[in-house]
Amino acid sequence: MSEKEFEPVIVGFFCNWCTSAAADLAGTSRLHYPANIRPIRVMCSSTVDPVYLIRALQEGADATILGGCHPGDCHYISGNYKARRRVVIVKTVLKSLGFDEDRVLLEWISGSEGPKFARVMNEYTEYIKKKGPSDFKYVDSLGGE
Amino acid sequence: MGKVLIFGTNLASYRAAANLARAGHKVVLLNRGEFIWDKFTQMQWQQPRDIINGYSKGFLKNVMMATGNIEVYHNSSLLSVDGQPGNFKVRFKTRLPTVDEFKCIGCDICLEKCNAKHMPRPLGPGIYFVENPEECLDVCPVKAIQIPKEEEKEITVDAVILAPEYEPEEISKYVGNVENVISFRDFAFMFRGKGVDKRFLKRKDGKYPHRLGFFIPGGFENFLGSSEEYVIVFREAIFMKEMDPELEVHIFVKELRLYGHNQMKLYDEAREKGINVHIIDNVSISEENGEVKFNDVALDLLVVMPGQKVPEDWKDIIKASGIEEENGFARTKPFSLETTRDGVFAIGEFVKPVSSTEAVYHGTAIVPEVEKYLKPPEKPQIPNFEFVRDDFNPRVGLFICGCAAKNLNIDVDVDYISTKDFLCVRGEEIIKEIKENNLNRVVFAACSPAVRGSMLEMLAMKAGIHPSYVELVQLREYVSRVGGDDRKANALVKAAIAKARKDYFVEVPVTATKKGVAIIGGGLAGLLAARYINGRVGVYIITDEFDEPHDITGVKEGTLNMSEEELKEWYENLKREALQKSRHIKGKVESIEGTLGNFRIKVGDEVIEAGVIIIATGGEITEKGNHIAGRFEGNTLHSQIGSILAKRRDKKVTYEFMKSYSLLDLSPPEGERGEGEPIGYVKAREYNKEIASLLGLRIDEDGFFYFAQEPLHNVERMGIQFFLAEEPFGGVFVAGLAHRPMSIEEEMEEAGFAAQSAIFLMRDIESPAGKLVSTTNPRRCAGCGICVDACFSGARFIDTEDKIAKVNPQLCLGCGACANVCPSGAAVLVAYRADHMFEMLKEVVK
Repeated sequence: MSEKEFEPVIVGFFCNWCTSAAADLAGTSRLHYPANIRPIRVMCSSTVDPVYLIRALQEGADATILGGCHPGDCHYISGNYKARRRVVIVKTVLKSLGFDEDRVLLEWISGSEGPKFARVMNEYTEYIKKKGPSDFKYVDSLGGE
Repeated sequence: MGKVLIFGTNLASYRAAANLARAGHKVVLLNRGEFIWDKFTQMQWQQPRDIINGYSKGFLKNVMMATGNIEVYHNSSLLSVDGQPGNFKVRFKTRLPTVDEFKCIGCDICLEKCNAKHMPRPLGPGIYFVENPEECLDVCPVKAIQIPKEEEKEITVDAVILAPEYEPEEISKYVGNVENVISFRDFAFMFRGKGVDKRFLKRKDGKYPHRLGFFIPGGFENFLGSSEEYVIVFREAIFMKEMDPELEVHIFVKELRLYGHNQMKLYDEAREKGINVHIIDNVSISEENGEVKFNDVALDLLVVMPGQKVPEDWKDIIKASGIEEENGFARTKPFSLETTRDGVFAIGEFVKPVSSTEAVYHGTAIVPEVEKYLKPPEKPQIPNFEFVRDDFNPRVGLFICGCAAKNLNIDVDVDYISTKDFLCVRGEEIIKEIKENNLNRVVFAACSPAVRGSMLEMLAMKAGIHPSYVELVQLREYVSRVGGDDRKANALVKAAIAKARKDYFVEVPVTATKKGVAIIGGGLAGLLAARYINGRVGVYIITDEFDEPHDITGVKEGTLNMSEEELKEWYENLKREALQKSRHIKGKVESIEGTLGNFRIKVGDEVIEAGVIIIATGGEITEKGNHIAGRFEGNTLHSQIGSILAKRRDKKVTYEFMKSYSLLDLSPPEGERGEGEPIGYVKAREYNKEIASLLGLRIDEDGFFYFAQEPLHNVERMGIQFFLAEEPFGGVFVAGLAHRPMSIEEEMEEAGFAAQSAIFLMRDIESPAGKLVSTTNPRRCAGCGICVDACFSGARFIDTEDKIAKVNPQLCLGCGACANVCPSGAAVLVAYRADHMFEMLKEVVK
């Protein structure tokens, strides 16, 4: 670990209609981005329970990213607004517990924004690499593991 | 079953082709480019960043594969149309593209072995071009490469629909050649794919423009334009201001054509955000010391949103199809999309300058119009599969596609594993292996679902595996093509396997749909809708009396110049025809129960059962008011009705916000600015409030209905209806003056859309929800109703007997919002339960 560069694991929850399509387009356009991103396709950004975000960090992810449609473009009319409210709450909770709230990121990436997808993934991975490993996962290991 | 030829691929054409195919008719689509999308639609010119562009093509492709009813010819041009409706002989020239885009799987082998090029496109493998197809025929594993050969074809069809594409005017025609003036398309391209960000807004010299102006020339000097330009520009200006509050934003227009429902809100929002809207009569644009001078406003960058031009080649189309023209557009019969030649129709921007919403309406309303020349379709054959059902003993098979897993080393623990070079062409083997190994779960590690997802799912179904037991990992787009490594690939595959092990069988319940349409109100749009439905399902018109026809007729010559008597005669005919095949029920609606598919409407002593409701309460046209255009206290009047009335009555108008509209741009009514005599405006009916409260619908402050689930943020902008139209809308449609002030021409479009959508919803197939339906665990549900509030589509309700939440699967669209809010974990989205997610998360972070 000490010699090797830190390789974070970032879990991405991407909505089916916009951000997953953008991830697809990034793939079709052969835009390389770090392999640290582990995408999970969900139907809508509002499907993502705050618990999922926290559980991902708990299971050992160094950061999570939630991708939805641009405001007003949600396939389910208002799902992305719900997601936005929840992410604010998750961030507040993380912060008040003394954890780093920047490890949860919310981004609007529409289906035609393949290059934006790759850019966001690049920038966020760089950012997390600089930050170093998340201290959240050690909470679990205090219990005995 | 009928056969229809559609020429051209504008936004309405995509919709028409798909709708006719789904109604069970054969469609021959003549595409003018090398691939679908080669010729741009109006939306691609005006707002290349809008998501609708992706949907239009993907949608067509899906319907094409699902129904097998669409045949596409590329690089085609129309030569002649001879004969009569029901027996047209159409001659056209066509040339095959080098790669069949509908067969192509995007495996890249031709890029390696042939002289080929690739162009990425969203929602699919992208477009490939092969320079030397003769030598490459055997290279392609799916035989998509073909030799382009120009040929002339003749086919026999029942009807012809003309839908050639929009072209924008050159901006130099409006502003001459001035530095730092760009077209809206170039402006939108600065952000295309990259997102709206300050970094990307640049002038040609690389400098950031601190003063940005938008100019819409439509309305000046006979330049044509629709309402779309205004909506897009206002929305974009607001985006710019949100991106950089320091940015100085100006909009220059002659009039505000924001006449869609609630679109004037965009104007209010723009002004609230500090955007300067200049309503001007004269334009002078010059260049001074590197800045653009627009009248007396200095700008760093001016963006011009061009209007529509009439392309030169439309003349040839009009000639070849033997129709008449009107100002370069197709002449149509009054209040119809049929041209003056029987059996030949025109839709979209070929009829008049339209917004994308209107184009979508055209593409839907065309179906009942064309169907009068078509034989009724045969009943579709629904394939009957037998599925294995075993929720407790998962046997997971992993099928890896060699094309997707290039250079990746997958090493996982699973019951059966098989790697094949091209999964999608090895269907028989896969089915055999699934059966031989007694698998009951399948994980495909292959490419994007936009490429072969539904096909792989179908394969599994043929092998007896229900879609709820199938998982797809996008190894190609998510890993191998983007520089992913073995670790990532294995994590994703393991997560999918973990999810598959937890999958359980989801039966898709089918609720019987009552075949009937209830039209509430006596508005003109209701009669139009009844005539469109034409007795194909039962129609009930619930109203005490019918509205007299108003004389806001339309902008096409045939309607604008129609005399009062002709209008009256047309209306009497319409009423007779509409009432012949429907039941007129007198009385007021007392109560409405049920949801889509099973409405029970109480009128007097009678209870009417219907699957779909169309609200057409009409409106009152009054002459009292302060101003003919724009807004005045208590009324959002719009606008286009003022100009049509002024034109019809040959009155001089005064205008503040708007005077002309669509084709009226070519000969606008005479007018000047200032206070003026009122000509007429539309008032919403009081009755709307009652209906709205019975159905739980929203009405705006002026009393007009919101169209189904319009979100608060001006949804009528853009063609968002394009994909909303795929959803059941809760089974309630609003048409005509109940929705907003509009001309009869527009009422016809909206009524046709409502009628055809109603018929589509009542087709004999299973619920559209599929495996993504949500359910309630009755043992956990407390009946609190939080999920009912969270559901945007109205699918959830509290059962009056059991006192717990239940789901109407026909309305559920599977977003999962209910599962997320449920405090007791009773509401679940069946394919995405929390334990699925936790298992996946465990694997994915390894």
